Amino acid sequence: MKKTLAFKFRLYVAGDSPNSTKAIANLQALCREILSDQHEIEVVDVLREPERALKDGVLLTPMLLKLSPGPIRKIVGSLNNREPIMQALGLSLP
Amino acid sequence: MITSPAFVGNDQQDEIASLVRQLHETQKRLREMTGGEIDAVLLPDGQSYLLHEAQAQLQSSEATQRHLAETQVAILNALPANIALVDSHGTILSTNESWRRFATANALHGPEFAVGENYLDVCERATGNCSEEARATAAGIRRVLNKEVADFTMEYPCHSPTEKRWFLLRVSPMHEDKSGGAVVMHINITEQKLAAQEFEELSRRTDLRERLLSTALASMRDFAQIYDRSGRILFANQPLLDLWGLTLDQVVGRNFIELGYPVDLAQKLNMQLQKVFETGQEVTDETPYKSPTGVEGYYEYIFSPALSADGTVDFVIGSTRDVTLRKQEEAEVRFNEQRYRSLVQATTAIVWDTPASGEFTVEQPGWTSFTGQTFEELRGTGWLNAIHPEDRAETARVWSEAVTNRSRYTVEHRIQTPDKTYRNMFVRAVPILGEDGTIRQWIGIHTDITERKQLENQFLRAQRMESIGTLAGGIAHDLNNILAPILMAIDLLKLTATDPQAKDLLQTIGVSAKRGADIVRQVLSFARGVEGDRIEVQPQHLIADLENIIKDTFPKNIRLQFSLPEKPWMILGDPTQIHQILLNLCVNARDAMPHGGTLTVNLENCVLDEHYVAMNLQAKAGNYVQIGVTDTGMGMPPDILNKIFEPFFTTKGPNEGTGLGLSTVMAIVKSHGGNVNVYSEQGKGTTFRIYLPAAETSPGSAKTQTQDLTMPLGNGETILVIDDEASILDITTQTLTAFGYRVLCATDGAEAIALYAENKKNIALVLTDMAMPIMDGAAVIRALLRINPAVTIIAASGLKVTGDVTQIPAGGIKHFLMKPYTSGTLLKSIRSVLADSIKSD
Repeated sequence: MKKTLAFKFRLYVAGDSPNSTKAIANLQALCREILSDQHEIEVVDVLREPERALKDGVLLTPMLLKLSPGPIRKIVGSLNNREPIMQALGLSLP
Repeated sequence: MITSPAFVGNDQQDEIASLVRQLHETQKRLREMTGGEIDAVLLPDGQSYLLHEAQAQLQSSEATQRHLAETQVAILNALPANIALVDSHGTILSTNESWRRFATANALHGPEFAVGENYLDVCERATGNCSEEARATAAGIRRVLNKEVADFTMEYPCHSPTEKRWFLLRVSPMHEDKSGGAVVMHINITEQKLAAQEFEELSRRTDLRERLLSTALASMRDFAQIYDRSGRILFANQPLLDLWGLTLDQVVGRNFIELGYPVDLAQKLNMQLQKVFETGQEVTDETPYKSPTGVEGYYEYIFSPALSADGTVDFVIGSTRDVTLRKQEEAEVRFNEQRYRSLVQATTAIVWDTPASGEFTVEQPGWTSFTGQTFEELRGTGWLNAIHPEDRAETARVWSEAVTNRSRYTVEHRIQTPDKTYRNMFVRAVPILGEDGTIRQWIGIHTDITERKQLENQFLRAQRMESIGTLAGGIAHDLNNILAPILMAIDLLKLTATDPQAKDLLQTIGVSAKRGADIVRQVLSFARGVEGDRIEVQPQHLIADLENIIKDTFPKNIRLQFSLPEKPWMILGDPTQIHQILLNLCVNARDAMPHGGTLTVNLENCVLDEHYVAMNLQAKAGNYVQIGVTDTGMGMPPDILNKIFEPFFTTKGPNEGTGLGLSTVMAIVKSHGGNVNVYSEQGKGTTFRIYLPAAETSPGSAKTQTQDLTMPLGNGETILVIDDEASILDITTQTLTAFGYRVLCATDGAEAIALYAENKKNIALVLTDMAMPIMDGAAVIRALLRINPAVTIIAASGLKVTGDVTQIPAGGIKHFLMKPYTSGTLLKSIRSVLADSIKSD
């Protein structure tokens, strides 16, 4: 039975480049700690799937797209700083 | 696009510079905007432009990755497991060196294990021995790939034709959260498996052995213990635990003291344990022991060393046995042995034992102390030397007969004592037979029967005497019957005879017949024994008579004392016999005083009351006349005193006494109903006291008898008696001496003449036998007449006329005595001849 997931993320990275790798790790850690596994992360490598990046209007990597809950928000960087994500998720005040 | 630099013009140069500056600015601006946190920008054509920091990092990261991969491969190859990586479909992505080697070694499967093959298919297609395990492997991998399980582990055998093998299959996901394949590892665990199996087998066997051992130890009746070096119990079997009343847990690690052993026993045991540990030598001993449960017993134990590989003693094994019963039996045997020995020592007989050969092989204390033979002298057949030579043959014969029959034997022989005299022995020996019936040992007893033998001899002699007496009595009786008619006929003939010569003849026949009757009476008296007349006798007459005889005949160095009461009682008895016993006692008294002394004869009336009788069982209560005869001689030791009344016992030389004197005294007194007491002290003297019953008419009975007391007595005159027969000389001398004469004896004429020449002034009368060898009576008489023509001679002969009697001058012979003559006749003749010679003087 498929569980209902509260949060959906799409993370665009450029291969194994340093900030991309950091971003994947940071996102995974944050989700595990705060979102209690009620989440789904899709990692998209712009080197492999550039058309999806263009479609989503991604100009820079790493870039995180918060798909749900809406509205869609974009966050650029290695996600070292959790504040912008928390804000984007509506979990803390701007 | 940058082409060859040759085509770059100045304008282009400036534009390029401007663009580069712009690119640099762009990058710088982007870095400023994103805080350096971006790697790439996406260009509108979909190309990515990596920022140069990311490019640089990516390059170094790739190198690192490559290095890491190489390292991982090396690690995988180094692992002793067959490892393959499979993708989510089970297709083999990669294998390590070990996998490949295994695949190569098991050539059959070779290509199927290679990269690109689907391992699941391979396993599921497998056939043969291990197909089951292969399918289980596939199922396991599938479950991991499907994330049904986090990982999968399975042990399985996969034996090759040449060896047994076991493997451990371990399947784990390749990535934690992706379902992207799995790591499949086959680890060869054959060694561990074999080791484990071996261990299992070993422990199973060890367990069994341990159980067997403890069962065996528990079922033993002996007590088993194991001690460590400090003397502490490591193990004790059930019987021992029961004896102690403890469990194994309670005793392990405890020492003797802690187990409540007495201190001295604990010390002894500890020392012995220590010795075993030090020397490696077994120790055997025994001890009494009382257990805490109160069981008391005697125990035999062995401490044995348990050696380690290097020869040192690891621990000591104790084995203890209850020997209480055996000890008790031993004590019993020792007691019996002791009892037997005591018995042997206590008996006066000789107890001996020999092996079947009859040769002495061990010391024989009884034999040695009896014979004086040392062990060296008696060993072997040396003991035969102690046996009287005349008896050896008979002893040997009886013994060899007993050996043949395996029977007991008895024999009599004489053995020599240390003082070289022989003792008569009665031998009884029994063989102890072995189980096979052969003789193993002889046990024998020598009993000293010397005294019994002597008594037997005396008895035989007495029997002979008795039968002679009986015979003589019978003859005497017949003779009486013959003599009676003769005597009666003579009396009748005297009445009718007128011829004086015939009257004389009748007179002579009558005298002879009377004499014959007298002899017969005497023989009858002897045959009847000591029974004599029983008439009332006045003892003072007997004593006076005795006094007269003794005064004249006993040596002068013997002082005489006679004492009588004023009115002595009468004795009922035979005066001759009483006279005989008194004389006998006085002669003994004289002989006891060879160097002189005092002889006391006293007479007393006495009443023996019940009190006296109680102290002297031989006596009867009543009135008695007691006659005591006391000397001051040497006395007698008790062992002789006990025997003096035995017939034939004498302390005198072979020809001096018959050994019948005192036994006759005893017999006569007994026949009178009296008894005899003896008091003797060595060195001081002896007293005989004779108790004769007083006549019932006593005291003061007037019935006096005078018979035989009218024998004429001499007055100490010396008479020379000549006879070649010693017995006649002896009896004559005794008679004359007893009746108041002194006697000189000569056994032949020459001696007589010499004696007479020497003593002619003292000799009042010569009594000579006529029939003598060499110098007959007539020759002697002639010689005497030559010395003294007035010599007074009485001649005795069995013949009326002997030899040259005619040559003797008339008057030379004063009187003729016919042999045999009685004492009375002799005394009367001497008295009358002497009276005549005095008158003629």
